[in-house]
Amino acid sequence: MANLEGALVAARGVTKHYGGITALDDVSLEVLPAEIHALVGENGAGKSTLVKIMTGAETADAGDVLISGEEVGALTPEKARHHGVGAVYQEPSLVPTLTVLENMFLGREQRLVPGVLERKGMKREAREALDRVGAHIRLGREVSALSVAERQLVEIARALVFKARVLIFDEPSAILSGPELDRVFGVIEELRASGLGILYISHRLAEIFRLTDRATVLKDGRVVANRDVEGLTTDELIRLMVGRDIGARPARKPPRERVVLEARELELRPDAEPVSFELRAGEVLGVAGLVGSGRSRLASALGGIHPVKSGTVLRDGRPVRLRSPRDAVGAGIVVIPEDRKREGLILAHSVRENVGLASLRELSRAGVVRTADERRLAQEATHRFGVRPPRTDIPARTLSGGNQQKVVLSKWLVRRPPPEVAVLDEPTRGVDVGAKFDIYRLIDELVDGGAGVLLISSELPEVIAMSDRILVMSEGRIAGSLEPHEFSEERILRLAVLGARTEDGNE
Amino acid sequence: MTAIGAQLSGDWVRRQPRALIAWSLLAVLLTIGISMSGTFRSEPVLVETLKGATFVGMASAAQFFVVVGGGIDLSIGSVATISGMAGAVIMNGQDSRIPLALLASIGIGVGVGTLNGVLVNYLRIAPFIATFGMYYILQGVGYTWSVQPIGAAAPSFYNLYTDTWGRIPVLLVMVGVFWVVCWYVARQTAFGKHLYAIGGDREAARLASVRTTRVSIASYVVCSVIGALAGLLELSQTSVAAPDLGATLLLTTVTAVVIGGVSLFGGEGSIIGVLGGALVLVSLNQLFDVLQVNALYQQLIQGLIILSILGIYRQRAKT
Repeated sequence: MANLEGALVAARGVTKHYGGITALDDVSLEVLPAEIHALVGENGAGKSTLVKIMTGAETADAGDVLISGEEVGALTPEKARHHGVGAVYQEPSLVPTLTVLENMFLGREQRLVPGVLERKGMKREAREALDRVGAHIRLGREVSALSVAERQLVEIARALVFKARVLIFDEPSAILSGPELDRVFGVIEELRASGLGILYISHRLAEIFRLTDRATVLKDGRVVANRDVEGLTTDELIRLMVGRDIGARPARKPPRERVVLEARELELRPDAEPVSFELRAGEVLGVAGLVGSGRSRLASALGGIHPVKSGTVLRDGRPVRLRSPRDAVGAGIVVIPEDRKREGLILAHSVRENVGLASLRELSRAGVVRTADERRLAQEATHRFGVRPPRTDIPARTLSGGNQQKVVLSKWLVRRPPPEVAVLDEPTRGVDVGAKFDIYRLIDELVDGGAGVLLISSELPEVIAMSDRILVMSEGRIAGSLEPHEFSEERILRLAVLGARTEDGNE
Repeated sequence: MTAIGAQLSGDWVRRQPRALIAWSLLAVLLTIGISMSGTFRSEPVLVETLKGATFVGMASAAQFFVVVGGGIDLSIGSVATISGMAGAVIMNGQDSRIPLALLASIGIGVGVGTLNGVLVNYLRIAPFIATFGMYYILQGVGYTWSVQPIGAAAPSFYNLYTDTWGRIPVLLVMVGVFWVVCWYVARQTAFGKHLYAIGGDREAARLASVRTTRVSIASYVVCSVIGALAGLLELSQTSVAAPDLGATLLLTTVTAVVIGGVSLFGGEGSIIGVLGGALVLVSLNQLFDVLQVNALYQQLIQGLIILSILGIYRQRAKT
């Protein structure tokens, strides 16, 4: 561990419990001037909790936070800011109904005399800070009208207004895309050059290697490593985060002959050719394509969420009506949509109730839910998916984002009987490395049990590794179907972008 | 300089449209009234309408401060009642006791407001429930105290309603000053901005180092104090205080705030809109009187207006 004296901000032996759960256990970490320090770990490892403690949003049960080597006692958001510790949260903490200027000085308004605000000075300082991060945003604009990237920049500028010397970024990349992210990265690197200390939280490994100098790895609330990023390999970092090697998955049995799902001439879009395909038992059919190519439309059609105008779906050779999600579930088709947080969870309810909701019929006798069975099912779900903390009686809201996703997936996948057809739309988006492999393992289990899986994903390596066959969609139709010997990222992209059919053999 | 001017006016326009709807509705009502009835046009009727809006208007402004901060105060009418009863009994027809009555009124406001704020912020009782409970308690206190009207306003207090400076009614000047102060507090002070912030996103405000609990409690105190003063001022019209003095305020204040374009989820709305909303309610009643609309239809029409206004706001929110 480096010297605490030189550190701009440091946590020393911080411990935090929520209920009976230990979120942080004797964690120490320090941020030095002119360094970008990565804080990495799986979902639920305690990253966000540590950030909240270092910024005074939460109080530690034991241990303390030192700022510039000095103890500052009980930390509050106000005190942290006063001492130059600023934070940019994952979900921007600006008030959407206020203007940019009002947000930048919220809680720190300058007054001429009590009751009268000093506007000129506030405007000038805000302008300077926004210029420094290269954001050309009018001060009078309401924050709700800004893009996500602009909000991030306003947050950074707000920290600069308060002469922050340390900036903490909590997974900014989770909500930003390519060019926006580049812009934020550029700003972060400039801030480092001007001597600020940066604590950067992410579980995207590429960013860690691109941006940061040193990494502290958290696992289950403990620090398992503090290393220079230079000289660290991706595999090593993953091993530190997950605590085990993520090796090869056991090979699956080949798909069977039986066709579990057949789509005939489904009209996804009025202006595109209808879509037809077959899904066999024991098969993972990958669906690739650009965003807006009709992949998610296909999923919502099969799930009865947005029924199609024309076309037929056959389950085990018999035509089925899919006019509502209930129809789909009744036909043994489970669709897990992309927007899981909104469409998949009741946040105020416990994990147990959320898991049980999809299986209430199986869990109840004469209309009465057997809670013990529900609990057993939920325990199985949390166990199989490695939901952390592994408890079923806590509200879903208290779980971290990635763990919430695991709960949604599990609620459908642990149903009895298990689904015969599963349509998974971006099942691994936003989950950490360890959970990703848990989900892959579960897909393997499903197909080995005889289910057919439609795997929609934007991550090409994932589609290639998991699929027995890949459909590539483009502009609402199927542009091509690839067999394993044809799998390559280049080929998929070419079909997705150009929409050309494969040379021969398919359809 | 012009850039800042443009920026400010852009800001202003963007924030006002909801208020404009209330004021447009007011214009429509006045036009109907003036075209359908000659008496409506006369200055005395107009002044009476404005004076009549004192009580409802003040209480609506009070409600605004709580609602914009993300709460609601259903006890406001009963605070006005208790304050009015206490004021009438204390004054008992003597001018010398006016200051004492004022002090008592403010005391009642601070006490009830603090209690509401504590119930909501420390005991975490939903504002709707906490203040509704408070309404019942105070209502009970009022009727236990007296079922009959009691007390008497001091003469110079009673004269407030009719006094004029030249041709200008004193009451209207006081109320005008009141609204300007409310506007200034809501828009131009740190307290006002913090209030909008906690209503807009309480957690974000907390992270920005706003003392959210303190601001929230303060909003209930401000509301109750204004409500108590409104109850006291109502004595200038009635002289005596009955235990049903503020009975109508529970619904009218919420209605005025909603018509004025304040979001019941907090964080949005303006005091100018609330003034418009209160005036709409008062002129609607005046219009009903002048046109002699059946009392049963009155409620029907009010309900339709509220729903259609909310419909308009909804549409605006979507675009």
